[in-house]
Amino acid sequence: MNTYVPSLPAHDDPNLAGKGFFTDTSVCIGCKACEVACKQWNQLPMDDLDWDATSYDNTHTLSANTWRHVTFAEIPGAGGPGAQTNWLMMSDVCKHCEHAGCLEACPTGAIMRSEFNTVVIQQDVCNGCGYCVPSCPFGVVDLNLGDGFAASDGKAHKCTLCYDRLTEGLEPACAKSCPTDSIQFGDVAELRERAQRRVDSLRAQGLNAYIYGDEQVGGTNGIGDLHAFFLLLDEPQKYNLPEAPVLPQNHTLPGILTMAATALALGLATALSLGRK
Amino acid sequence: MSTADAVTTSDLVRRTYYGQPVIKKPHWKWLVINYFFVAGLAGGGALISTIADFVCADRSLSRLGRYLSIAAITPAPILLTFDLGRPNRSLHMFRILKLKSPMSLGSWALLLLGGFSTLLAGLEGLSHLLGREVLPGPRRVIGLVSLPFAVFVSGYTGVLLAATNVPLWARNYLLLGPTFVASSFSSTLSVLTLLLGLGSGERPDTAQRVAQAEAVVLGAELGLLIGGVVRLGRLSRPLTTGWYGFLFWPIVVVAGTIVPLISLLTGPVQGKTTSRSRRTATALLAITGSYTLRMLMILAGRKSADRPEDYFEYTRRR
Repeated sequence: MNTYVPSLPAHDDPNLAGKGFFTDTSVCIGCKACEVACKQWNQLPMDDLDWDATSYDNTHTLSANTWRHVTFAEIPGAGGPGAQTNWLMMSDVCKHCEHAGCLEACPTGAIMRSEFNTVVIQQDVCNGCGYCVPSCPFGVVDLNLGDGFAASDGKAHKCTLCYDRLTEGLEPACAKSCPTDSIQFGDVAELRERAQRRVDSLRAQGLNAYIYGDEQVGGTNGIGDLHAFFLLLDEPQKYNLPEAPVLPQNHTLPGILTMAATALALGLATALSLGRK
Repeated sequence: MSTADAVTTSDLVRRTYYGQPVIKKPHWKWLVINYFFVAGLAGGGALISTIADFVCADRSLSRLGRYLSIAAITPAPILLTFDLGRPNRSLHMFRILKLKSPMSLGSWALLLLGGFSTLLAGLEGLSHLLGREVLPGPRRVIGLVSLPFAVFVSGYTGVLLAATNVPLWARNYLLLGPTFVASSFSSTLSVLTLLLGLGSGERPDTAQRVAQAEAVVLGAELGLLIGGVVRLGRLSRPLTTGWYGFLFWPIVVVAGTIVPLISLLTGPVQGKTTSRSRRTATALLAITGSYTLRMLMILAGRKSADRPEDYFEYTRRR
């Protein structure tokens, strides 16, 4: 299904040009093939084996060494203990935002936008300042400071959308390994259309399906379109995603202006006090 | 599974994903806390020194400000370098300039202010040694040119925190920079009070003027602190409750701001001459308050980032 054409698509909307993921959670079976394929291809070390709460989640979150993470949200059915349990499973990944908080924050230029319109950290440039980490609205980027089984390299890591595979005309390892095509790779514009058809089909079946990361649903407050987007069946918080994330750099200019105004006011007051006869 | 477990689990799942943080907290701890404090003194010292150079008859104030600025800015790059995951790549900060990234802007401002401060402290030191004014005109011009960078270094650390996703910092983005600027002014004026008191030739009128400026600044800082807590509402809890709250209210608000403010308002502001020990105690309290504010703002921010409920509230659709 994921036939890859190794050239950038010409698309009317430049924001939707480039490569991305459509992760359709309605067909995710929680097999974690994506996690394993990602770790194998990118040679990432294992995590501590620590099961989260009562779920099947042993990696808990995306991290420096886990670039695909399958969430297992357990939704107890009505009728108390013993009732049928519903599962919401989703393979989380870097969203490769149109305006990425991590990229905007990076003071070294290590985080760059690639020719595939994806967001990639250049490992030979990153100096491990860590500012990208709290600047990601989705908690994706992580510094490798030597937790668990990993040796510390002090640098920031995240999904590269398999940049190395893309340059060789291959699709990313996770999409390649996904047995149900819950993870689909391709041109973002084409994926958007495919996702919309899937939403329509699921809605016709009575499911409350929608696209997360769509400006129409909640908006993304300056982040723009997500190039790795998701079809969800419940509210975003159930999948540990924020409802209406904010681009943190929206605060830079207003913050500098109020800071400067305060410095001016206090500077004048200080000048008046110090210069008094 | 017992019934109690089932209820707890369902409650957790309803509100968050098993209590798992949504965003990742920064790794910043003591190196950055101490950097934030010395950056406040370096920027504040340069700023107040330039102001004093133009308006204050007592040259010792401007001179001490220059010495304070150079002393405070010297450890800054060392603290920042050792905080990096790859310290040998600290110069990568100067590969590019990124206008939307406070860390990029701050790195450049710190570099430039370091140059200006070295130059100005050199001129002041030379004047001191030779017993006559060395290049007073150029000194003032350089002081003026360095002003924007001094302002930036004194407060950009607050803007840097505000331009993240951490609810405690991001929700308060309009007041965090101003709070850090006010705190930078108050800690700098307090250190200058201490330095003036150390010398034998202290002029009481200078001490009085510094105290009056300090009263205005502390009043502003108190207003900004309270304003921030009000703006944050429930999102302020990592800072205002628990162990951090146990330190925030008594040390930052009461001992670090209200007590020195009252001490100044009841003494120097009314024109009364106060004892040296009272001036020293007042200054030490304000300095402790400034340091503790920066410390708690970082530590409580890390806690805030770890609370998924807070982040969901911050990113709730409006």
